Amino acid sequence: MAEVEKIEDIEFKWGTKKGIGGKNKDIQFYKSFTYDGEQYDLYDCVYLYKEGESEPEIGKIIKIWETQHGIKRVKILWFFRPCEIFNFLGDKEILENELFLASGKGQGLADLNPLEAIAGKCNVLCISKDKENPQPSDEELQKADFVFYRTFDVAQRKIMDKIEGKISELDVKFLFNRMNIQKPAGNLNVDLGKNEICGNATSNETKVPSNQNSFKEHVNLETTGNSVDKQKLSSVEKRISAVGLKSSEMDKIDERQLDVSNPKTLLSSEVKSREDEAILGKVLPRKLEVEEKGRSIRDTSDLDNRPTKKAKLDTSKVSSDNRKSNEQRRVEVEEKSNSRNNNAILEHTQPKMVKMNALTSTKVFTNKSRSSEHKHKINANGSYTKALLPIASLVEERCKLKGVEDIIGIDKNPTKMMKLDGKVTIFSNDKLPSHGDTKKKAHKVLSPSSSTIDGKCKRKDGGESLALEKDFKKKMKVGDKSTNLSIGKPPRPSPRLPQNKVQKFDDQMLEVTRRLDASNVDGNDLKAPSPIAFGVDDSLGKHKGPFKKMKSDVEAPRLSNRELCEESPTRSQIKSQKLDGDVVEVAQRPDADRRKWFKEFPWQERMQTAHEQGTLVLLQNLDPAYTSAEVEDIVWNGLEESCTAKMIQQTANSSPYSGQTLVILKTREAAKKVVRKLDEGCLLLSNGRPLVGSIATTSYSTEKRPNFFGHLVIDKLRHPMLHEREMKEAVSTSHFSQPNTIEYDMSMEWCAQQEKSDLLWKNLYKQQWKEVKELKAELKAK
Amino acid sequence: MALEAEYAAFEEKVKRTVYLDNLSPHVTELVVRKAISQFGTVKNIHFIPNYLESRNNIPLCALVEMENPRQANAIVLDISQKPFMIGGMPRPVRAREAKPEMFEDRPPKPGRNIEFRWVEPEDPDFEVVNNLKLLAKDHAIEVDIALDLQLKDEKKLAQRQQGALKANHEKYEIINGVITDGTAKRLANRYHIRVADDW
Repeated sequence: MAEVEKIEDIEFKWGTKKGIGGKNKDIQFYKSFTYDGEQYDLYDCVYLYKEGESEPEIGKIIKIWETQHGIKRVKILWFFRPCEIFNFLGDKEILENELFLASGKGQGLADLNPLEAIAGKCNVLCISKDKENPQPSDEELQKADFVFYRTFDVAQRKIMDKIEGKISELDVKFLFNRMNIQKPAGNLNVDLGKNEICGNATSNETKVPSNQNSFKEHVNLETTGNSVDKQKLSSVEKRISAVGLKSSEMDKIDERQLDVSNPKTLLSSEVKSREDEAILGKVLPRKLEVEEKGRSIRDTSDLDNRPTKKAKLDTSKVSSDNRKSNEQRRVEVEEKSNSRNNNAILEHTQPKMVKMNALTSTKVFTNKSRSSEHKHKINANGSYTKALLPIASLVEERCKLKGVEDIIGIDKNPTKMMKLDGKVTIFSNDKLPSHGDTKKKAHKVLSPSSSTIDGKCKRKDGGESLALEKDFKKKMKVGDKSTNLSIGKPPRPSPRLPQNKVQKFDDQMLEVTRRLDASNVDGNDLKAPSPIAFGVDDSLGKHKGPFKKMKSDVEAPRLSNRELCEESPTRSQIKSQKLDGDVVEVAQRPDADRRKWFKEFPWQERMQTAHEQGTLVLLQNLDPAYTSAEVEDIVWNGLEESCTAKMIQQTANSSPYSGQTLVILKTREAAKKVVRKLDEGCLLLSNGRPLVGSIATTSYSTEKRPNFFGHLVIDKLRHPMLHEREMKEAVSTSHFSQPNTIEYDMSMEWCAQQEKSDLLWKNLYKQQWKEVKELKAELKAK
Repeated sequence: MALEAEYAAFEEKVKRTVYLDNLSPHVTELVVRKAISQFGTVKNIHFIPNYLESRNNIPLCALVEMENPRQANAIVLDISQKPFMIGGMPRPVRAREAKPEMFEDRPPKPGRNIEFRWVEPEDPDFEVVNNLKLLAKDHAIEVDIALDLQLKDEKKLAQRQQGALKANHEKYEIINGVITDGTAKRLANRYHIRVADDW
């Protein structure tokens, strides 16, 4: 009996009847039907597009019926994709195109759907080794879209390795492969599905799959309003998700996407090729994140040399998007792993992330709207950067060149930053590698345009000391570029001249950052510095010596800058990123090597002594992503003090947006001066945050025995002879707590307590972040 | 590109690292190593030193570097779902993914520039920046207070549990005592109550 109906011009025909049922015996069950030219039988696997999602779900038809009113319905038993349940996968291995059948009882097991929701057939083979399951041949396996042999119990939230019993009141034998060879998946519809998927990609839709945790960032991406690159990204992401676990089809889509614009393809194809590995079942989001980042790096470097602002802006957006997405993914993965069914936390972070994104994106926009001179510096690695620094394009190119040179000189060695002090006699040698393994890469530190006046004298002295330095024996490894730099220094109309020289010690790296703000020193003559620089270079020679290098820079540029600043304070604040002639310097005393043993001192001791001497300063409100070395640079450049710094490592309870550093200065006076300066003036860092400093108070006591809450002991059982040493030597055990013990209950209480305090912290930081943001918004010039 | 390569290597390390929290200060590296070795290969353990806090009862935190990110994730997932104790009970440790900021020696992110400027008092922004500074200081104090609160709560919980534990223990001791010295049996005989055979 066939009824032909036209439903939205899609052909439909009922097939074999199965029986009558329902309350009033008015429901007709069927065994098969033809829809849109495709015949579907009971227990076939199909694609379904859920409303609002662009990603199809896969399910097995386990009931087909029509009500008396002519409403056709199917009951679908769901398959889970690995990415949907990776939380519960743990360490298990997953096949490339494996799915998990839903089992158990509860939500997510099966759903009733209108028949029209079916989008196409899907070839899912069961490869379970159950004896009732006909094993598919190799040929069939090749043709199959997906396979499954395990189930996911929705109630217990666990992977079950065996398919047995009943699933959704259906004997599992119905869920195995059928005896006869499965009909090949209808090409038409499947292609349709594929086309749809790819069509989505190419048409730059911005709809995003919302049911996949790993792509949650899309939601956030949307909120940033970066349309162009969002599309780029989302289409790439879409491709990732759309292609799903079909390796064979990936190639097809690859080809199809080749027509798309280059950068996109670059992004997509590369991402795609990684996908295979990523989808190989390990932690999806993370892998994707790595690759995405890899992509963004490459992207940014590719696009870097394009002098156009637009490109930069785009890529910076891309990278910022990437950054955001990476960040979110990271946070998300973290959140997932932290969840003890605590959705509240997830909800909290979501808006927070959104907010942060909004912030970074608004930053992007506001920066863009700034004067045309400003460009965005592309941050290659996104993670926590808030700083988008403007730099002229030409300079940037040169920077890249320099950057390469710098990077060449880098290796994993402790680095030193030497400073040239105005007082010639004092050589800041205590700037020896304080942290044993600190690696310092050449980076550019830009000093402020306006500095205090006393620096002036220093500069002049600097010139003198330069001369003095010449007397020292130095071997300097000066890259060729550096000489170019010094030569090329002189007044250049607009571009800034970054001069990065990296010199290598045998195991120390000096990094020199120097910039001449030629653009702002229009009238100023930079000739003064040049000869000296030349002189220095000459005297130092271009020895590629492996020993101390000294780089003395001239502070004259700063002089000129300063003059400029004094003239036009307003200008200076607008051009806040004026590059200054930084001093980088560092004169290293000939007996610096002898002092190397300083670096062996553990930080703790030095901190103690510093604390006693009153030279320990605590700097707060830093970007937590800074490294100790960068802090040292900042202190040097901004406060003209040399120091050793140590970023305080963040813990779970640390503020995610504000970091702290402990800084040891040379003298107590220096410490006081620093604190005073920071108090009176405002040293504004590039992310719009003023540095806060105070004399550190650390009562680091090694004597007191820490009193830890939560580890309970039963007094009576404690061995009377047990004292501290013995306790330490006693074998400590670790174990998972079993649910049937008192211990378990108590530990649950602790967990609850932990969750509570986590929430507390989160809210606190959210609140603080909000306050900071509000205040920052008042800043006129950033 | 070595800069970026190094940073990439660092990031990769971050991914492989688990951040453990709520460790007792008594716990040594060996203990942690043994404990976590049950999950996979431990490459490195680094305790996060606590310089600032003057309190001496902050739980310890450690960064445990594993062989590969999969192991790290497995640990985080496992510990999040079932309470895992190290070196004492019943307070379970907490495991999270590590973040770059938690590490001590990390390479700076390549391509990042730090800029700063001194904001002069004449600068119209001075006011705002000053307020930002004060705000930052306030926040630091708030953080302190929050930490105090947290510790206070924890202390309360610990004491409560200790009390409950003690009471339970005494209860069991009594019961045990009564059984072992035969009182229970004799009483049972007296009242003609059947007792279990193993008493």
